[in-house]
Amino acid sequence: MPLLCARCQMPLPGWELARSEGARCTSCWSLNSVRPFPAMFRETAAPARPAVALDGEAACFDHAGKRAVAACNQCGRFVCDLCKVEFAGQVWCPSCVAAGSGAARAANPDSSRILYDSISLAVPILSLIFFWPITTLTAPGTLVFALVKWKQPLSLVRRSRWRFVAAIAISLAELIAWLWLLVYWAQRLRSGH
Amino acid sequence: MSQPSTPYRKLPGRLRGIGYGSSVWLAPDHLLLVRTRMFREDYKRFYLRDIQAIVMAARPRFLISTRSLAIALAWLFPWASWFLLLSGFGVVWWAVAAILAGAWLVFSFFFSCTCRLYTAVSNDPLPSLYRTWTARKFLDEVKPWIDEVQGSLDTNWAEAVESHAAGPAPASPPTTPNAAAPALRTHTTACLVLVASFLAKATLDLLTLHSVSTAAVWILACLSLVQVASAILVMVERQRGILRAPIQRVAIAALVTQGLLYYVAATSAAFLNPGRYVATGGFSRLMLPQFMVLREIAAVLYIVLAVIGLGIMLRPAAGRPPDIIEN
Repeated sequence: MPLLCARCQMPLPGWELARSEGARCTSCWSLNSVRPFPAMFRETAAPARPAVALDGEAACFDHAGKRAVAACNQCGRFVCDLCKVEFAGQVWCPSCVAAGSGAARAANPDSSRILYDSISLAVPILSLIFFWPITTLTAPGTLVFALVKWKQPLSLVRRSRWRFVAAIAISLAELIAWLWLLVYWAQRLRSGH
Repeated sequence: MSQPSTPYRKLPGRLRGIGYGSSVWLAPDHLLLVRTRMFREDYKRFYLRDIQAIVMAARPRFLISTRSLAIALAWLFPWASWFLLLSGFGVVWWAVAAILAGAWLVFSFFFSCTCRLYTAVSNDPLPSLYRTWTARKFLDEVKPWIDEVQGSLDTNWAEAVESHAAGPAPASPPTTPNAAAPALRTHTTACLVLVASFLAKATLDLLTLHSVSTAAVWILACLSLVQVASAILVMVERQRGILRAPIQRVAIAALVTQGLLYYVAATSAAFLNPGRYVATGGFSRLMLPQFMVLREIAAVLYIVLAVIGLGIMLRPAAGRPPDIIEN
């Protein structure tokens, strides 16, 4: 199968690729620039096919008809070639990997994160812009939220906590402004104006 | 248990939209694709040893980034205090606005692209790469790192491409469009009507700049309706697989242009005639003498759209040289 167009996913004409690193898709008419790498031409090994277990032979825990080739280092279940997961020099069964216990969790990289620092920065700013009276609630709320979530992991690629700092500063400024307003109103009421 | 932190380096290209975004980062052994949706980041890793190909397809893309929105807001700021500014400022302001909008249209039409990264088991778009110069910069920066892991490629790689698959194997082999699908048409009657309406509207706008009659107002209104109807028809025909993609972009651009002109006229009328009676209809507003510049800009935009539309319609259909056609 030839390379596919990045826009419409239809095959690119090979005769054009042979001439240069670009090819015009015959379906969507887009000009594609191709940067191939050696991995594209690497032959992929076919997946191991587990052998059938004969009478008296140990069978896989999940596939009763397949010959066991190892035992899980975590739970001790027998696993066949298909179920065997080699991990950190050990053999694990799929259940233990799925459970993500111990070292498996460490090896399982994050696939998403909630950006608490962005939340704590957005709340006081947006409430101030769109409906400022609500800052009486959002300012102390943000302050507490930012302090509680301070130690939560940030974005994988953003290392700084400046958003938390900015959120705390803005919330404090809003709280001080409200306090000042309350004192001002109280003084005006007392003086009878 | 916390993960050991990986040092990431930002790679060229970043998509910044309202509530969404994307970027690609380089680690010692992998590329990290980051997709942001509101307050959540999703990550996808592509190990350098597994990357089979990166393909960039040129195509028009009309993305409104937060950066362009910020520029538009900065541009609107003096408009809000229009009546306080010196006379003659309006013309300069409109000219700058037209240049900015024109630059955005040119970049979106001619210097935009889609990039995809292929591995043996995945085929993912890289949304952060939507301008051709950024994509090239990205490829130039990433290539040495991948070459270091995989080694460099044979110069005659293109001959081997046909026999090797890039990306995940599909459930069923796709059919080549030449063999199965009928060739997409370059234009239909709706396209011709759309382009004709551009030209007619631009001509009428320019001819009636200084003296507007009621008949001209009605004809312009009818032409706007024809334009909207033909643009919708073009999009329907594209969805039905009759038309090629580029003309649909022109139809979308026409609708966006018309909407923008309508709202700019409405808001300007309110600013220029505070507290006074302003004609209620959008088309009638455009006839106000103060909107001469706006109508000139509209005429120029429609001429540009007509030229682009004609260029697309007259473009020859794609095809292989007859001596190389296989079977």
